Amino acid sequence: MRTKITRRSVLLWGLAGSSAAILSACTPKTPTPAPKATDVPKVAATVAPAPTTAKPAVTGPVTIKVWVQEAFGKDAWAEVDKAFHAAQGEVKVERSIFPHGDMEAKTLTALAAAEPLDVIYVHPMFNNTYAIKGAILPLDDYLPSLGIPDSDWYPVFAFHKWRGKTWALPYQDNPHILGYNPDLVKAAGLTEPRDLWKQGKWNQAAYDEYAQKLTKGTGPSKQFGTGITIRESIRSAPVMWLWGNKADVWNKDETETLVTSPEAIEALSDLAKSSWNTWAPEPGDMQGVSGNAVWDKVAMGGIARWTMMLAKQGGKFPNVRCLPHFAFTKSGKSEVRDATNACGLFAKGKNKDAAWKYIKWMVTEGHIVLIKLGWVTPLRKSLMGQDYWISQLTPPYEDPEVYKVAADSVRLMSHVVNIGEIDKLFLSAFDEIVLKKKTVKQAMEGVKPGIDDILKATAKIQLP
Amino acid sequence: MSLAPASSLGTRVAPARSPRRRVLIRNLEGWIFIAPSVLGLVIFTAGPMLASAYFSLCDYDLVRPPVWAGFNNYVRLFTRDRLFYVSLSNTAYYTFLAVPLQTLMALAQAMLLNMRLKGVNIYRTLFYFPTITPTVATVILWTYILSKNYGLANSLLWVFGIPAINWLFEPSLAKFSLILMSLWQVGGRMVIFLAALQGVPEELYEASALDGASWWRKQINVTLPMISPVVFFNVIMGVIGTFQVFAAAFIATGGGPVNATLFYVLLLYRQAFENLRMGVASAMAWVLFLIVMAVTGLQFVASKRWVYYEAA
Repeated sequence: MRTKITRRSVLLWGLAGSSAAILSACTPKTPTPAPKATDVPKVAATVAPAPTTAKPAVTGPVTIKVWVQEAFGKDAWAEVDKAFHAAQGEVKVERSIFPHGDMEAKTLTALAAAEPLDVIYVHPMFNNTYAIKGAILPLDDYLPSLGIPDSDWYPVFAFHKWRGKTWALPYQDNPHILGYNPDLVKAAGLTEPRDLWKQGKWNQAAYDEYAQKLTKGTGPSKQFGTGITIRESIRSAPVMWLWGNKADVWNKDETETLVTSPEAIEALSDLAKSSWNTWAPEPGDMQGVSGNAVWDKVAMGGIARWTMMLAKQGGKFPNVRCLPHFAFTKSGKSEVRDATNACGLFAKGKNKDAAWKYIKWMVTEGHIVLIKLGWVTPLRKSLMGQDYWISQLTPPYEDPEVYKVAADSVRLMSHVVNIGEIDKLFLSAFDEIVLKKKTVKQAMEGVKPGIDDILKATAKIQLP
Repeated sequence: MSLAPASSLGTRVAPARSPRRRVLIRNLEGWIFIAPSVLGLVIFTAGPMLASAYFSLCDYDLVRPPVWAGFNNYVRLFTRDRLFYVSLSNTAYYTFLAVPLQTLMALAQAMLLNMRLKGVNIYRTLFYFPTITPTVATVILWTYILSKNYGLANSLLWVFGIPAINWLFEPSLAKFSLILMSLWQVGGRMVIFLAALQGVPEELYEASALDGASWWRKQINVTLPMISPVVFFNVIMGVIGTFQVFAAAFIATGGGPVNATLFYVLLLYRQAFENLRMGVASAMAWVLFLIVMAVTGLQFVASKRWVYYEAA
């Protein structure tokens, strides 16, 4: 008998198929088997003493979820996890690595979705936003158990302190230093800037002179004297020039920007000189030039330990010598910016004690593991003289004395909430300055109302 | 002669239903058949649109629940946000320059590919290829072509003694450079024009040839009127698409220099995902929707003057 396909039969079969698919999707997952006894790493003999607080000890293996940004690569993070597990047997890390650009949005989405994270990556740009949105918890109650005297920490340790509370702790920082191509300097018949530094003559006037004399040629083969321009984030070169001229970005209450003061105008005009005089490249000039090749085109520029390590990972150091940032004429000192990678305690995490155990280890022992892996500069003064730090630097490219001076010169800039939005307003104003569409004063007066609006709005927001 | 009772023939006879019940069952069956599409429309289009309309009236930062704010977001956009007007004017500039150029380019390509040449199918494929290349890869490629010191574009200009142009980082040129980029990917419209050109009856060309019409006269008096509905369609789609330009500015210029390429949707993206102002971003989305509706409506009204529908 011939089967007739009817509307009803199609509907019935469709319903049966959909139901089967939905039921199979809703079937509960098979439970994960309990870990075997051999899976738990043995507790090292040198385990840290039990905390003196009354918090209950972690009982049984606990797995914490940790989100980090990709700075060091998977292999380095695997080494860190191995060392952490070897140091203690109670806490296991389940790590996820993300590109830096995605971190803030992903973390806040995780917060909105009540994702059960325990430790999250905190950059200074995200710190205050996370605090205000309740993504991270203050760590002040935990700090006494760190066991490191305050005097041992470099200034950067307080980078994540805001509104009187500590929101995250750094395991890596990158104090700003300068680099230069010695071959280009020699070809220009100039004394090496390192020699000037050692003679105490490396100052703002010398830097300007070198930027001018090291600028040669035109067109694609042009060599630029410096890579530092005003067309950077306010958190980068501009803030250093402001400090060097006894100015600042915003007031202590973070309710008003101070970039229209005469000192600030002078500072930014100074920085803009390198663009007006074409000592520094415009954005289009460096297209197609990347990696170590940058140093064949730009004689001097800002650099950090992390960027040197990335170059080394690529198999070759750039042809660069390092030295500390010069002393500014007006302030007489060199105050440099820094940027940290830090750990924060996720507010909605379920394993806070285990998470703190991990954070504490990352900031102390884990930081040393990262030093030995060659990725970070010491955050503590007592580590600067250690052999495991000095021996893995690569002369003549790297100099421990330079990193020490830089670490001591760090000045902290408060990364206000919505600093990303403020940064874009500044960048647009800096473009106007470089292109001479506005004077420095006009550009800063033009941008001030918008920035003040943002600052005032965020100053009103209370911490949760 | 009456039929034998059904049972004696071995067939079943369905019980009689009332007409109303039959109509109801038919309707229900129809609804069930279109249920996947309707559900998709409700869940993935209408639902988010309604949610967006609600969020546009709230203060919402994704992390905390939305807080009712009335029309504050709209007031903020129109009275306090300078970048809102900058982005609107940039987008309008882009749209009103890019759409005519893209339409002309697509039509010119279609007319060329409508010729009877050996290997014309290969040419059609090659001209269509850029349309299917990923946008990000295309934009990155173009940033290299338009590179000030190392790009192909300036290399060609140097041959003629023209100094290097900073295509992407000169405020007066940056938008135009992005428009140039967009002309490379008109393959979709080209294909539609090609189909329309092939639908123009040959008799009309023959008749105009008999009247002594030149090639140009034939295009003006035969081709364009006959394909005018397709031109209208491509212009509408072009306007809707260019109002939403995002990727090229996001990747190539970041909205700079001096906000010269800060387009509307790029600003919307920043408000939503960088500044976490979902309420403001939702308000911007609805403003864009209304603008596009208004422009499309105006185009429909204007189309009565120049679009020729053969069937009508």
